[in-house]
Amino acid sequence: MQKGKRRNNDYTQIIVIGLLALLAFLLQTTSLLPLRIGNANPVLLLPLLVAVCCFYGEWYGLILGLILGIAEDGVANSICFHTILFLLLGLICGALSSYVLNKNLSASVFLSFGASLVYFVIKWLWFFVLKGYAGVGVYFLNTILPSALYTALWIFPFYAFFRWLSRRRRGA
Amino acid sequence: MRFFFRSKQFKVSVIVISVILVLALATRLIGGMISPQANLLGAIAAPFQRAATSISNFFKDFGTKLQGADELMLENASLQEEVNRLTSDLLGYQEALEQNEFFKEYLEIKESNQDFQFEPAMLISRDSEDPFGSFLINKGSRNGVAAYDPVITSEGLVGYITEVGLTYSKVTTILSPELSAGGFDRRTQDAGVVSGTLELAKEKKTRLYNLARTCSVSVGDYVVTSGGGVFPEGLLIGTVETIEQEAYNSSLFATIAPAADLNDLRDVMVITYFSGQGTADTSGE
Repeated sequence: MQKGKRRNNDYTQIIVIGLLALLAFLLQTTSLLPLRIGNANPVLLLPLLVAVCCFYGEWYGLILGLILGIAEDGVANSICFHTILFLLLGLICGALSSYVLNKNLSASVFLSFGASLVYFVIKWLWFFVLKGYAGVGVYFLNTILPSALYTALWIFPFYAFFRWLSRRRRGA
Repeated sequence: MRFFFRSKQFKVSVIVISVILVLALATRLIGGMISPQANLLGAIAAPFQRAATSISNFFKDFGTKLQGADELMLENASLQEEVNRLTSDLLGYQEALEQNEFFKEYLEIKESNQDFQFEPAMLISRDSEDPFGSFLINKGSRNGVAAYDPVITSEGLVGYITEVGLTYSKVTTILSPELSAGGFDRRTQDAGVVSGTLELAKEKKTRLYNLARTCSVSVGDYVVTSGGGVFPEGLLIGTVETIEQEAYNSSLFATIAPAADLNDLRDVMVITYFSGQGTADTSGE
């Protein structure tokens, strides 16, 4: 009975994470809500991935990173770039959260800022610097850095949501 | 943590992930296609993206309509009784009317180019991280869309199809350095290459470069495609805003404001066929 109840809880969590990922994807890729602030555009899938890693560990991080990466590759003009990057970030954040850091808000914020900076810097290097575009320095300061910081800040609502969900699950 | 990497599930995951990555790489090597896994996720997400974009467009139009609210309220009062009776017929009529207005704008292009075959499409999502404004449309290979098909609006050229899935496709705009299209000044016939830069993309502009120093291009001139390969001849790209000298050689380049409003794209037209259509090299230099 307990095992069945736990399994139901797992399925519910997966559905909730899936719906949240879909919502974040729609908000990021459509103009449903104006999220852009100046030159800064958030990548909502990234703090969502970090939040899931913090609460559910490296396995969820790995699988969710893979799915979100494929979804991002579907929109962006990239060959598995996002698939590999999201997968690795999910795995690393999940592992750090499970084995190295404490499961608290500070650790989540730290992981979010770290993942966001790594993601945007690698993307800037791969899509702009290596292609030899002019003005990459200015673009980094005007767009990449503000977008990275803005993206990282979205960890707060995602963390709050998963913490509420976690407490509800424990209460039930 | 060691047990995690040694576990059977991790090894199975690695195999599955490797297969997915190989599929994606193979698809890209073939060229012009979206990978099967992205195709599957995209097919699931595309209807949601279309719904979200439609909701967003509805609210934008609502704001515009509020400006004429006073007149509309008076007219609405007298039409209210008739609207109640004709609601279902009115919905069907409005849909047909919008489609008619949409196609009427393209009739002039079609009349000038009898060989063009069009496929109407709607923008469903944008790559928010792409400074060159690439986006997805809701038509794919099953609608006859193919890689390198030009994409236009009634105002002018938007870009071309870079990747095609079953039900959706990616469009690269004329702001991108990845696109190199032959273009010329319609007034002076001076020819050059149209391709974007990172700096100009921020201002939603592109440039016509490799212009001879002796050219007589002026501000306000119209720039059109020169044809041969990806784009047919005569598609309006934009108007010349400035003319400057290149930093590293003696040629000139013109900054071009695109004719199509790339900030507010909703409905576009894909040219699925035109005579002389080829697959020219579209990689930027």
